[in-house]
Parts: sequence; C-alpha cells; structure tokens
Amino acid sequence: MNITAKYLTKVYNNGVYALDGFTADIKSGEFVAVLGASGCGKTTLLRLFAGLEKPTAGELYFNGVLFKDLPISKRDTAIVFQEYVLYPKMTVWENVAVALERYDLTRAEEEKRVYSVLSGLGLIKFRNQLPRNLSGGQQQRVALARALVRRPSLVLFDEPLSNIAPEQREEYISIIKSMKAELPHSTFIYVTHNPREAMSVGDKLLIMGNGRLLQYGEKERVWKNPYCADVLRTLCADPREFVGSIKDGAFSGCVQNGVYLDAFNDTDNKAAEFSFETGYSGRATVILNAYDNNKPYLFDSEEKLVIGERELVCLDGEFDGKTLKFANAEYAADEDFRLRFIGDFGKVTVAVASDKIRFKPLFGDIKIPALKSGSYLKAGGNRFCLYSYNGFDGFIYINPADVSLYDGKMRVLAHYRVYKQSCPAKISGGKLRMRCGALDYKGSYSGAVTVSFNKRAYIAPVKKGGLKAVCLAEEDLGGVKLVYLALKGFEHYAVFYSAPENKFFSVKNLRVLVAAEGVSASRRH
Amino acid sequence: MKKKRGIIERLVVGKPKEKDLTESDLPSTRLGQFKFVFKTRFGILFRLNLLAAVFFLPFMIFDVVVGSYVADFVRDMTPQQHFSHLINLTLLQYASEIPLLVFGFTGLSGLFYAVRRLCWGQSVKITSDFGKGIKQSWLQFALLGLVSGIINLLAHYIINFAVLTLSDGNAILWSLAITLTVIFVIVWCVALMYALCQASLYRLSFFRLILNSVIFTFKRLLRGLLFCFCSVAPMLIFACMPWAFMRIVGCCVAIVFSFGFAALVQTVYCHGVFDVFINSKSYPDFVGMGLAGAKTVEEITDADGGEQ
Repeated sequence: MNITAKYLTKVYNNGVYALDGFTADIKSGEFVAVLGASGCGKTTLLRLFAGLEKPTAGELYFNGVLFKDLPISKRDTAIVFQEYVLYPKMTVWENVAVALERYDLTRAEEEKRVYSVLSGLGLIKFRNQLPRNLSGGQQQRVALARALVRRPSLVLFDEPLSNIAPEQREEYISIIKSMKAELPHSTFIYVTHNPREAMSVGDKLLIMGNGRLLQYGEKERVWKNPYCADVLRTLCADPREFVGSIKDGAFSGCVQNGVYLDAFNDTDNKAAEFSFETGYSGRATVILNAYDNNKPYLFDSEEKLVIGERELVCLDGEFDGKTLKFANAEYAADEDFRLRFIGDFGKVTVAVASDKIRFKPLFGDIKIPALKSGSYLKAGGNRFCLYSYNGFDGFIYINPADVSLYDGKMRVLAHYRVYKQSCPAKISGGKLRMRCGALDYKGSYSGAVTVSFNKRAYIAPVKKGGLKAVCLAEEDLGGVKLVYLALKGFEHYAVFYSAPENKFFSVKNLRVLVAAEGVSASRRH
Repeated sequence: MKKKRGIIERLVVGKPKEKDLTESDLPSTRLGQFKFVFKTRFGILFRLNLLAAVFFLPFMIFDVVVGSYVADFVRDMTPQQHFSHLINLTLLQYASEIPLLVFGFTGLSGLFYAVRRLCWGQSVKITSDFGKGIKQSWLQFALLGLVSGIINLLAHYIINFAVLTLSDGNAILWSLAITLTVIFVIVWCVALMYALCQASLYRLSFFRLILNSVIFTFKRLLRGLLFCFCSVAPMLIFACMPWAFMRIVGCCVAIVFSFGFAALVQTVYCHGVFDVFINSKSYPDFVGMGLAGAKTVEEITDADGGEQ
C-alpha cells in the first residue's frame, strides 16, 4: 500500500501539537522504522494511519485515495499493539481466526491460513492454550499472527517489544523480518523509541522530533548523512557531542555533553579539537557518530549538517508571476503554482528536498543542467552536495510539485491555493459588520460595502469580538505563520498571517481580530 | 513504555509467564489432557452440553411425566393387579421412550464429534461442528440409541416381572434373573461408552462397532466400569432416586453439565484404550493425539477409515 501524507497535523484538545505538518511518501512493500524520542508524535502518526484518530489538518492518501473516503472494509490495515490485546477467553487459534471472520472464507481455507501462520511462528503446538498460559513474547507472536493472517496491505507495529523480555526480542525481530519476506507487497511501519531496534528492523528509517519529520530515507543514507544534529542524537541515543566554534577548518569545542571542558586540566578534559575540510566558520557542534566508527560530524549554528547532502538544495531564481527561471532552466507556472505564491515577484530562492532530485526524468519534470565538481554538483551559480551520483549524466530533474520558494528565510509558496476573498458587509454604528462578525470602523461612511482582506493581513486570536472562524490549516513559513480560516459569508477560505506563537487549532469558538491595514472595504452599489 | 494494568485486567487477562511455554509443559497424560480441556474449554463444553440436552429434552420430559404417572397409577394397585398390567405399563413407559431415546442419541453424535476435536486440540465452532458430527455419525448413534432403548425396556420388564413373582417360590431363580439383568445392563453401559467414542472416530459397521466394544469391555472391565461410572455419576445420582422431584433435579444437572462432562471423560479414557488396541496397529499417527509430542491433525494424511 502506498501511503502519502501531506502536511498532516494533529492537535489535541489541550493545545498540544502532536504532529505538525508531517509530509512523507511511503511506497508499497517498504519496511519503515519510525524512530523518535517519547512524545515526538510517532504513536500519533501510527494511530492516524490506522484510522483510530482523525487529523486536525492535512491529507492522508492510501493508494491515491483520500483516507477518509476509503470505507473501513477497504482499509486493509492490521495493527500489532504494545499490549498484545488478545481475547483472554479465546485460545491462541481462536484469537488468530477471529481476524478472518468478516472474510468470506470456507472453513477449510480459514483453517489452512491460520495453521500456516501459526506454524510459521512456532505456535501450532500451543493453539489450544489460553493467552494467560503463554509468555509475553509468545503472546506478542499471537498478536503478530492475528495481524498477518489476513495478509494485509499495511501492517502497523506500535512498540511491540516493550512488554517482551530482552532475551526474546532478537528472536521476535527475526520473526517479523521473515514474515515480511513472505508478504513482499505489504507495507510494514514499525514504531519504536529504541535506535538499535530501529536499525535492526526495516529498510528505511523515518526520524521524528517534536511532531515533525526530521529525515526519511534508507538506513545507511540516514546515519551517514544526518540532515541535522537531532537526527544523529536520536539515532545514537546520547552520543558524545561538543559545542564550540570552527575557523579555517579547525574546530575547538569547549563544552562536552553540556559540561564545560577546562583546557588547562589534565589530558582527559582537554578542549576537543577536530579538523574539517570546509569553508564554514562560526559557532558549531560536533557529534561523534557511533555508526561511523565515532567519526566527528560537523553541524552549523542552526544544527544543520555542514559537510554532505543537506535537507534542501537551494538554487537562485526569479519569478515574475508567470515563469520561474532558475539554474539555466525555466518553468511555466501553472494556475496552482501561481495561486500558491504569496511573495513579491522578483528574486526568489528555489528549494527542493535533496531526496526528490532525480537523474532520470519523469513526465512533467523540470530539466536542469548541472556540472559535477569533486563531490559537489553545480547548477546555475549554486553548489550543492548529494548523497549519491549514480546515474548522473549532466542533468538533474525536479518535479514542480516538489519545488518550494523562499524569500530570504521565509517561504513564499504556500501549501494550498490563496484566493483573494471578499464578502458583502455593512458599516453601521462604527462597526464593519459581516456574517462572521464585526470589526471596528473608524471612518464616517455608513452603508453597504464589499470587504476584502489584503495579501498580508495579520490576525490574532481574541476572546471576545472579532470574527468567528474555524481554522482549517496552519503553515510555518519561517518566522511567521500562515493560517487558513473558514469564515461565514466567504466563498472560499481566507488566508492570513500570524505570529508563530499564536494557536488557532486548539481554541474552542475561535474568534480572530484582523489588523486594520489588512482590511479593505469598497462601496457596494 | 509498559502500561500499568488495573486489577480487573490482571484478574481477567492474567500475568504473562516469564518463560516461554514449551512442549514439555503441555499435558502428556490423559488425566492432564482431561484437566486441561475441562479448565480451558469449559465454556465450549457447557454450550455443547446445552445443545445435546436439547435433543434429550423430549426423553427427559416424557420419562419424568410418564414415570410419575405410572408410579401414581401403580401405588394404588395390589401386586396381582400390577402384574396383570405390567406389560402395558412397561410398554407405555419404556417402549414409547425408544424413539425419543433414538432422537437423543442422534444429538450425542454431534457432541462426541465436537468433544473429540476439543481433545485433539482442534478449533471448535459449536453449531458447525455439532452439525457436522450429526451428519457424519447419526445413523450409528441412532442404532445405538435404539439398542439401548430396547435393552432398557427389556431390563425394566424383567426386573419388575421378577420382583413381582419373587414370592412365588422360585425366589432364587428370580433373584438370579434380576442380578444377571443388572449385570448385563452395566456391561452394556460400559460397552456403550466404547461404542459411542468409536462411532465418532472410525468408520465401522454396526456389528464391528458392537463387537469391538464388547471386547474392550472385557479386556478393561474394572477400569471401564470405573470411568463409565465417573462419567455419569452427576446424572446418575439424581436419576436413580425414586422421587420425581429429585429426578427433575437430575435432569437439570444433566441439561446444564452432565452430557458434556460425560462425553469428555469417556472420550479421554477411550482414546487411551484405542491407542493400545487399534491406533498402534492401524493408525499410528493417531496415537497420543492431543498430548504433548503427538502430531497435529493437519500433519496427518487422511487414513483409510479414520475420521478427520
């Protein structure tokens, strides 16, 4: 099953952002280990995939179909929980067979399938036992058998080894891997907070932190090329790290794992020194990568990787509202692209995720000539590094849907279309009255008007007054938030800017105040 | 992270064992097998019992109602009057019961099939397997019911006849007749136990079935008697009491519990006997079925004459 998550956000009633703009593309048949510290949102993500929770914002597609449009009978998902969740009064056989109840199988077919999966897991001799007679590991195997007997397209594991004795975990992992080999077309998603476990299961790693996706890719690519320090910290589980500064390739760290190093003490506490081949100077962090023989990895002041493939490839460009020009290539923007652009026409930075850059074209791709120079590629006037250059033949290919535009540090291409919205209103008694609420009006005019909101209208949530709204989505543009609100009387949603600390999702009966300069009203005849 | 479990959850779900359950922990004796099935599958046994009891309900109702009617009728008679009405009364009560007994035994075919599956560690779907058992062996069981009904009728007639003519001088002869009748009935009950279990397991002719059962009865006489008695003890105690009320209680015990219990005890015991006399020679794969170390049913190919 192909899973596409776009800007998935989950906000709980207490205002906690469990997931914040999670976007990923998981292909059919992949075995993905989701790794992150406790509270990073990985269980929330799993529950969204399973349909146990609804996302607050964003879309989730299974095989191209929007998840909420998929009937439950077609979701074909199985879950293995941390707590087994077996029926205590049913035998092992019955616990597994119950998963086949709603399928139209004959008795013989059902028995064959259950027998096959129980034999594969070494449980056939215990098929008559109640779960309470089995060990934790055996019970978890029964849970696994129940999940796999239907041969589902998607299997979700929610920290299944948490309640299993350490000595049984290796065996359980090898069982999962062998089961995956028998279901090559099923997608397995395995959630864990244990880096060793994540590295031993699965082909791909998905690292999460604070409800966001930090990095997603093949295991080797992730540990060899962590995009940010948090990725390496999550992978290595409390690695040795040094904070200091780098100049002319020489790093000197005066703090190790939060402890200040005295350069004049004995040799054990000497300031850490490393050398790197880089032109970067300034504050830096060095983390020793346990997966790479404790080789030091350098991160800049924003804790982004300095040497190697970075998360985004940035190219200088220009957008005039119709055509995007960058790196000796041109893209005639379609309607969707034009409507999503919220910046000023002129110079922009074109950013693409590094793992979205291809060396072989697909239909609709933008073709960009590039030159290889050492371990870097040059396109236009920009230099960047990729993890692998296999198949490079002088061009790189980018899908326009993967392109993001930046103006300095701020993103100027929204996730969704931005419409100029207007609605009929009336000015009376010093108030601009609309169907969704009223705003203060300082002018002298009184009568029917048409209200519209300017391109960069700012809003803030208020407790009283203002406009009654429902928040549809939020985006972090980098230093400012873009908020999509449904307002009564407006045909489409309205888009506003807001300070990043304002919260709109978790508020009951949301009311917002629009800054005066963001509102324009024209007389209606 | 481990979730803390509440007291109800701990009571219902139990605590997972620290060590893996292994084959050596599985029941390796017939007694262990009986305890395991009785404890683990009691719910299914109970429901199977109820189903079987439905088939015996007409017989039990008829027996209690007609029995109390006949008892009332006879109470006011002199022995001579009773003797002159003996054949009619016997036919009224015991001959009329025969079709109802046949019907009841048909239900036992489903019960014994399902219980056999329980003992062999197979899954049991109550209505489906009960129906399958009836479909498979109803004729053999019905014939056994017919024979049992006839023996019941004859035994009651002989005993009542002998009791009524004891004072006629040939007391020793009639006492002997009563004793032999009782012994015959007991032997038949033990043989019936073997016959019921064989009928749900093997495809045999009725003659072969009876012959095997009689042979087993005499080869394992004391043990057979003991297990047969143990299997029907809960029912028997109440059923043998003269008061109608106690017989009603006996019927209630049977409805709730006794059929399934009896079938389980008899199946577990008889399969041990079959292992020695039949399976070891003809069906070696069936030896120890349901015990630790034995093969599973799916691993065994369909043997000629064997039930799957």
